[in-house]
Amino acid sequence: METQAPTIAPLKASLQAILQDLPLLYPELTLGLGVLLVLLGALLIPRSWRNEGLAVLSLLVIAASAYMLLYKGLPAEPVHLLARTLQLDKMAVAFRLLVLLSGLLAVLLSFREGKKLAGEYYALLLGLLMAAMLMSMASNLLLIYLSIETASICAYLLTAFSGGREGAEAGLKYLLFGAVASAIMLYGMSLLYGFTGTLDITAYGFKSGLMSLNIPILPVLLAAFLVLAGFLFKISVVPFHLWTPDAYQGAPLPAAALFSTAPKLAGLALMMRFLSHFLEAGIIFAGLRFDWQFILGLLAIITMLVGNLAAVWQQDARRLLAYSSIAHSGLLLAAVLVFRALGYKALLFYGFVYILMNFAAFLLVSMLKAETGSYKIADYRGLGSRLSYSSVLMVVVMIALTGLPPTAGFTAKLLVFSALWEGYSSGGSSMLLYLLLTGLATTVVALFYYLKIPYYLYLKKQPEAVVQVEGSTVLERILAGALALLLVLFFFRADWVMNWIEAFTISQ
Amino acid sequence: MLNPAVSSFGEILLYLIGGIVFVAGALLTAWIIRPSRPNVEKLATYESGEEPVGSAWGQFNVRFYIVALVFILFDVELVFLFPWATVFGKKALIDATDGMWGWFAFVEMTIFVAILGLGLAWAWAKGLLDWVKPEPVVKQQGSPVPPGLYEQINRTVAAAARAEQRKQKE
Amino acid sequence: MAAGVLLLPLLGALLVLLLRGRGHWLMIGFQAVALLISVYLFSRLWPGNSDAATISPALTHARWNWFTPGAGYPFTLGIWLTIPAALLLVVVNGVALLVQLFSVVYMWKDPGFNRYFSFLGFFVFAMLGIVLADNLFLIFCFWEGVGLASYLLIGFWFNKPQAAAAAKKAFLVNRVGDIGFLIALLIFYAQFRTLDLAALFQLMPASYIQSGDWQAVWSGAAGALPAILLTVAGFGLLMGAIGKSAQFPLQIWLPDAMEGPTPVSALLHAATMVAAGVYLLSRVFPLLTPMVLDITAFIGATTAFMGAFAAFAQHDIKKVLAFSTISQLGYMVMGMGAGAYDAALFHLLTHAFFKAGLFLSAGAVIYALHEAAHRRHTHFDAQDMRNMGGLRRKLPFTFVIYLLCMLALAGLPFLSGFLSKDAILTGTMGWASVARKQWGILAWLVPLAGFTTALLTPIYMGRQLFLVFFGYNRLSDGNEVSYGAIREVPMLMRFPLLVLALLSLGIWFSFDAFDFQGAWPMRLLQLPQVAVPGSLTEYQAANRLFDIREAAFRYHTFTGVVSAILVLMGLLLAYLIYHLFNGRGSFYNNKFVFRSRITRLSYSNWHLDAIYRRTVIAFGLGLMHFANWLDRKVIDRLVDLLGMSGVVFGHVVYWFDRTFIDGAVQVSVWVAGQAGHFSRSMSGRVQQYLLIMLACMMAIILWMFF
Repeated sequence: METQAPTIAPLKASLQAILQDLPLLYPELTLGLGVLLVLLGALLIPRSWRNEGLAVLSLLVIAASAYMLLYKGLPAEPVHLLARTLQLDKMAVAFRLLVLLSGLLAVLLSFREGKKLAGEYYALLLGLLMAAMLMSMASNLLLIYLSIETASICAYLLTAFSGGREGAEAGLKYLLFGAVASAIMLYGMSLLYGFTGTLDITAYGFKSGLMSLNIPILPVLLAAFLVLAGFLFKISVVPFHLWTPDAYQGAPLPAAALFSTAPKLAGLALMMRFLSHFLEAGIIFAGLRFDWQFILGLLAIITMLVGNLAAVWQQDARRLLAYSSIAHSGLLLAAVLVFRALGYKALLFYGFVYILMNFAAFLLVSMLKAETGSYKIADYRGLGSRLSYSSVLMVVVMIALTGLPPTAGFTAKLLVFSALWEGYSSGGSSMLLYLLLTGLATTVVALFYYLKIPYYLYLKKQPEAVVQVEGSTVLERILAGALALLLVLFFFRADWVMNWIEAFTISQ
Repeated sequence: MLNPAVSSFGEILLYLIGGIVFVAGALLTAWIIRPSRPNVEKLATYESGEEPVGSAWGQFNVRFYIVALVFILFDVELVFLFPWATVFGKKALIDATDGMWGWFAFVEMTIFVAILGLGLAWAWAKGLLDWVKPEPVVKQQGSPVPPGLYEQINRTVAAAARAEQRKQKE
Repeated sequence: MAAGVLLLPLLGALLVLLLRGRGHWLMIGFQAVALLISVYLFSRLWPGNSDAATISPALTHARWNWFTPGAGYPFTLGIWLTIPAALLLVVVNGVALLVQLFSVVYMWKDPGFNRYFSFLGFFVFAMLGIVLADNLFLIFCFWEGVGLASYLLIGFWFNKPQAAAAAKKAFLVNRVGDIGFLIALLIFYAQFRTLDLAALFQLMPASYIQSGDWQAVWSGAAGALPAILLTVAGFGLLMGAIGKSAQFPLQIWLPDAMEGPTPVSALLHAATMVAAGVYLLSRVFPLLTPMVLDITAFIGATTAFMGAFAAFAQHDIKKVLAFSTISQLGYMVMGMGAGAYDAALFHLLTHAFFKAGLFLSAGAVIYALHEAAHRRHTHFDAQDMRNMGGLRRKLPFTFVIYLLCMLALAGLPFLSGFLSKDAILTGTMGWASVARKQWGILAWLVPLAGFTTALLTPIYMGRQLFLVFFGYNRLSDGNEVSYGAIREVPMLMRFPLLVLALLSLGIWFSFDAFDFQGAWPMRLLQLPQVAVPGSLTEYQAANRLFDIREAAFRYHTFTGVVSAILVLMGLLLAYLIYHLFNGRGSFYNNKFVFRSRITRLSYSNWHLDAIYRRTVIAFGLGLMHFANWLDRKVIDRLVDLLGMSGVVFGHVVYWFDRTFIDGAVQVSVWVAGQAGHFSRSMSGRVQQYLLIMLACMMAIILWMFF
């Protein structure tokens, strides 16, 4: 908010505009209030049922936020909020819903881990969700930075939450890496501000400033790339992915599952928004033939290759999932690069399905950990006969992650591939074709490491009777079953998801 | 009459001079009335009980960070409150917006302070503000020497040293 | 709400599977809620409580679109709660609840405790699906679901070879009937493009038969089908019912199915699953032509007599009950065929209670003997009646329950069985007097079989009563010690027994013990409007039914008196033959075998198994051998030839592969592996991470600049 209002009359109008904007931000405000409530709850709820109470409270907060979003926060047409710092359109609503969905699943997953964690855990989780939701709306460099930073700080703390050496180490690594990435991004932003004199990327001044002939083109490109680097860090695209395996291994499982969905999807939304404005401004760069699609496509290809190839060698289920998440990032980025409504739809579908299968995978890993006391894939040997329920679900989820029928993972991959092909065949860059080919090739690689888990579960013999440690809870079993069921269901009824996505398609 | 910009800097100059005089006066008074018995510890730079010279990679007690954070919490709050009061407390703006301006400023600052207050309450309730002395751990090394023996030896050695000193003075 | 009743047992079944500890309370809880809802639904449909106008269609018939085939009407799925359906809901849920309560004790020591309850829940779900579904296809789905559930439950102790074999046999024999069902579905769908029952009931009367063609009348009606297909479709449905309700000639699976746990027998093979066939006939009653109905009556009569006869000479306490079930189902099917629709359903209701009671008391006897053997560390067959006798003194409670249920089955006045059996017999009399015009003297065979069975039933049931509970105990060969250790069953088992025995009293159904017309089920159940088009026979089917019922009214008193006399005669004969002239049961010891031709015919269930083995199975095996020969001598030769050329070609390809392709693959795998190794070559040092990241960024930026 501008404190030094130039004249009096517009001041009143802008204050009233802010008041009018507030209802559209109720979802975020609910989450923010939820953070405070959870903190209060952690102080007031007796220890005996604190974890359950806080988890239920968080669920309620998320549900209330979703309610606000669906029944109060749908603008008729794209609007700018809070003095043009936020841009609320259908895309933002879709991504905010996805973020809330992943938050819901994360809290449900946290019932077990939460016991070991203090009350701030849920508060940080809600804070992360709020920041991710703001990220998917931010259209002002300052707010972009603030939301990314809030999400990151919550994520650093969550990473360190599992306690012990492993958690502290992972948290510190993540923090240092993130600090450098955000410094780089901030540098890029300051350059952009210097070139244009405005922080609002939707403003006319931003475009005209960039297109001004007084500024040489290379520094602009450099600045833009530095800002993109910050986003790529959140999405964990190579070479900004190095924190991912360590952080996922050290973080509590539900938090790791959340990192690989909510901030990632919000980062993609942010990237789409930023690129769309930047590409508009970039018309004048045509003479230079600078091709964002090419450079980002190259990164996506490398990400897919590195993620999949490195995953083949992993022994730890969490690290395997971390590399798998990197590989999926590459594919999600590829969907962004189609720059068309089709790619956007594919992205939403993939994002939705990815949330389901990713949480299912993390949940099953957590259940198997409860049964065997280990995250090592080698320790899953021969569990298929003893833990038939979890094992069957694991097979379903792994098939979904690989992208094979009859699961929604297949449909999602198919949509992305066909969007890439559509983009290429209707006169797009040949980069899209390379992306498609890499995606296909890496799917074959993915088959090796995803199916390694079923291979150990079913085809390897159990060495000796393993002592059961904790055992999974009924809630976990139901949740895992439901997620797997949905994965299969949405293969057969993909149109249900597609109908939902159609409602949130931006009319570009 | 001086230039108003300069005259308003004159106030700051007065503050600066006053500050210097106050600090110098206090030191001077102390220098006059204190007894002068310097030793190595006293001559060392004050560093909150830490070793002032050494490797920069040395480990600090982690409580310093917590206290520093809590301090900054209040410090920032205070630093924020003053400009807030002067910048937002403009009657013209408040009147022009039918009081809305004032309410906005008030509500936002209330939220800010309330959140900080909750943070403090949290830190308090979690016992982060208690500066607990670390319990001295008595090492049980399982040596055959009874624990009292060392003290006894120390005492006799000290007594012998004192006797030696007395003898030298005489 | 009805959907809730349907889904509750399924939900229970799934949750029980998930549960780690014992899950019986969960399943029973769900079942109890389902029962309460069913009772509520039934009370809502009760004519006095709310007239038809106030019952919302949503309560009775709910439909959802499933999919729309390329061209045509949407395919709907739904629930149709009619009065018979609501009645069945209460019966199925009630008996299931009691059986589950009984099972808690009976199955307590079984390692598959939760699996058992889960299967039970799934079975109830499938059965309720049949009861509620409004669509022939949906009924077929649940029909198969019941088949699967019965397969799982009969083969519950799949470690026993007999149990596994029995499960397989039940499954396969049922499939024979299902083929007929499927054919009926195809015919109806081909004619009307819908399988929705309510729609069929409207489309069917509109269709007509003209010069041997069966023409449907609706907007998208295609060409006519041959008229015979209408009858064929009816036969198809009948075949399905024959398979599931164990009617002649497919009744062979039911006695073997007694290998499952006894409470399962009570639930599946007495009260509910086998009733599915009869219920199906009632559900599609308007679609059956008079020809089909007549055949149904003959088949039912045949089965009733064959079953009763086969029940005579059995050693296994449960097999006697199994054959009696076949016989009683024959009654129901016969009643259905004879147009005594309401009587058949009434008998289904009463039979469900007293037969479940009988099976559960048999279960209680088996349980008590088994426990006794366990206590004294002896071993004998706890189901063999040759090891029983004199149990009246040890198991007085079970004895009283058994006595009540058995007398109800025998059809003694004042008990429920008398009313419903009488209703069916009267119906057959009426049918015979009308059907005489087509079938001549043969028509009287149906009531004759009915009355004969009515005489045989008290005799074989009396035989079982005297052999099990009266006389001296016949345990021998060192097992005698166990007799002293027999204890009455626990309270949790007694409760279901008591409820079922009380429900076998006639007073619940009709105040006047001799007037079945006044029984509430008979008043409640309305004869459905017959929908098949006429001109297939001389006169309209509905008129014929009317004639039958008119005629039946005349025989009411006659049948009541005759059947009461027959029952008393039967009981007396049983007492004389099996108790008084049998050395108070002492000749029936464990050395006893059936020797005479008649008893062996009964013991082996009319040699049906052997007949099937020699004909159907032998034919199948012959076909198999022929196919095998064909396969080996002709097809294999060809394949070999093809294979040989393939091998030669393969060698060429192999050489090529080894040299060129493999090399390429190995190189690429090695490259991929190295790449993977490189990309995960992380020391874990964050400084190095940052260095890598910054170096990459610098490279990208440099590339951007040039």
